[in-house]
This record gives sequence, structure tokens and C-alpha cells, in this order.
Amino acid sequence: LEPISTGWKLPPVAPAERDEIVVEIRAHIHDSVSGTSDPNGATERVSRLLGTPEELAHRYTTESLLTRRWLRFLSLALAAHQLATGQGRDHGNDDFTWFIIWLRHSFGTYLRCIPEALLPSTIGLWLGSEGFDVGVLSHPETQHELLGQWFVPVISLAAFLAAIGTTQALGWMIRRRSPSATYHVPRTAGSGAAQN
Amino acid sequence: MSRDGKAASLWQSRLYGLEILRSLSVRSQLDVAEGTLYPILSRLQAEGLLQSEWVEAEAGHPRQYYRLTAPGRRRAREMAEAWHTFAASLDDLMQPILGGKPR
Repeated sequence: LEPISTGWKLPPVAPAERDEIVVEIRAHIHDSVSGTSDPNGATERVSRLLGTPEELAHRYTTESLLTRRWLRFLSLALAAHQLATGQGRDHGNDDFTWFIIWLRHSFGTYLRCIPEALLPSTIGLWLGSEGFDVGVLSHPETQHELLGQWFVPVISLAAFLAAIGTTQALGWMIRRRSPSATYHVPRTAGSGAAQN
Repeated sequence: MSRDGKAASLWQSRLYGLEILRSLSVRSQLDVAEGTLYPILSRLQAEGLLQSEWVEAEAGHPRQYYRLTAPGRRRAREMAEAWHTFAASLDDLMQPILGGKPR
């Protein structure tokens, strides 16, 4: 259990949790072996089923990563992208494409806050004869900036809310279109099958 | 599937890891490797679907007992309903093969 207890194999897991994992695995080995007629054989069997400490640590790391919000978001975006560009196109998933475009636009807007710190007079929310424009000043003679020093906080918040909203909408769309949600089972007497 | 089974085994009472494995094996012939059980339990706990408590055991070492939280019970119910729907549809599909009349 060295790789788990020392922690270098488990960067996403907190030290206190690592200690609990080690105690739990040790207790499991003890419980599996105690009371058996062949302790050596039982130890070998449970060790094989647990895997090596490195393998076990790797599984904890993988499972821990699966709980990360950004990874969920990434998987949602990938799933939506696949639906929008893959087989989903046959079923008219244009709305997924719009979600992807909106998401990309949200991040693009957010990224514009970075150069604003270096070029405050060139980056901003501009209003001109052609309407609103977020980003680089393109028509100095007709455009004027609206947010000033509030550009970074306002745009960051707006982009953040747009990204969160889009992610939630993506999740909702994927759940709504998933096969399990649309699976149709005829309701028959005695089967008691749930119908969606 | 493995995650569904673990949640289902915890429906009635709190259990510790080895009890969950034995419950799955005895009640559903599902053999889950120990190496996959604890990482998944850890994730379900991190997701708020399970909660755990350490209990001093007669064996001389503490055991971590797991129980379903309220969101965990909701999720388990959803999974059970989805599985029931899926199994019922497959049952209908298999019925002619087994010689019965389609329902």
C-alpha cells in the first residue's frame, strides 16, 4: 500500500482521505483472510482481486477525476459535439450545433479579458454605427467604449454565466435525447413496466 | 451496472465493503473485483450519493460502513426504474425465442 499511503500516485485525493483508504483496504484484507482454513491462499486471492497498489491507486485517481466538474463539462461538450456532427445530424440536431457555437463564443468572450489588461484603450465593449462589439476596437472614429474599468468583471461574469447556462442546457438536451429517456415499452397487464 | 448493483445492495441497510461484495455475489451472482469496489464507493461518496461512518468492529479494526443518502436513494430509484424498463423490453423481445406468445 506504499503508493497509496505516500500519496504520490493519488494527487487528487486529500491526505486524510488517503489515510482512510489505506485503513479500509487493510481492514478488507484482514476480514477476507480471517476465519479461512488457508490464510496464505486467501491472502493471495484477495491481493490478486485488489490488484497491485499501483493499479489500485490508479483506479482511485481515475474515479476521483470523474467527479471533477470540469471533466464532466468536457464530457458533456464532447458528447454534444458528437451528436451535433455525427449520427445525430440525421435526426436534425441543429440545436446542439447552436449550443456548441454559443459555448465557443462564451469562452472567446472570456478570453478577451486577458489582453484588456495590457491594452485597455483597444479592448472593450464598443458601441458604434454597426451595433455592439466585444473585443478589439475596429472603427475608432465611430465606436466608443461603454464599460471602462468594469469591462473585465462584467464580461467575465457574463461569459461565466453563459458557459454555465449552456452546459446546463446541454446536459438537459442530452438527457432528453438519450435512448433511456425515450425508450418505449408497451404497457401490458402484469408487466408493471414503467413507460416514459 | 456495477455502480447500480452497489447502490441497490445498500437500499435496505448500511454495509461495509466486504458485505457489499458478498451481498452482490449471493443475491445476484455478480462477482465484483475488490479493486474496483472501493474506488467506486469513494466516488459515489464524493458525489454525495453515499455517506460513510467508521465503526469499531469486534475484529479489532474499524470498518467503514456505507449508506445511501437522500440523493443516493433517488438515484437508485431512477436506475432501478430504467433497468426495469430495459429488462421488460428485452423480455418481450426474447419471449418468442423461449416459445411463449408475444405479449
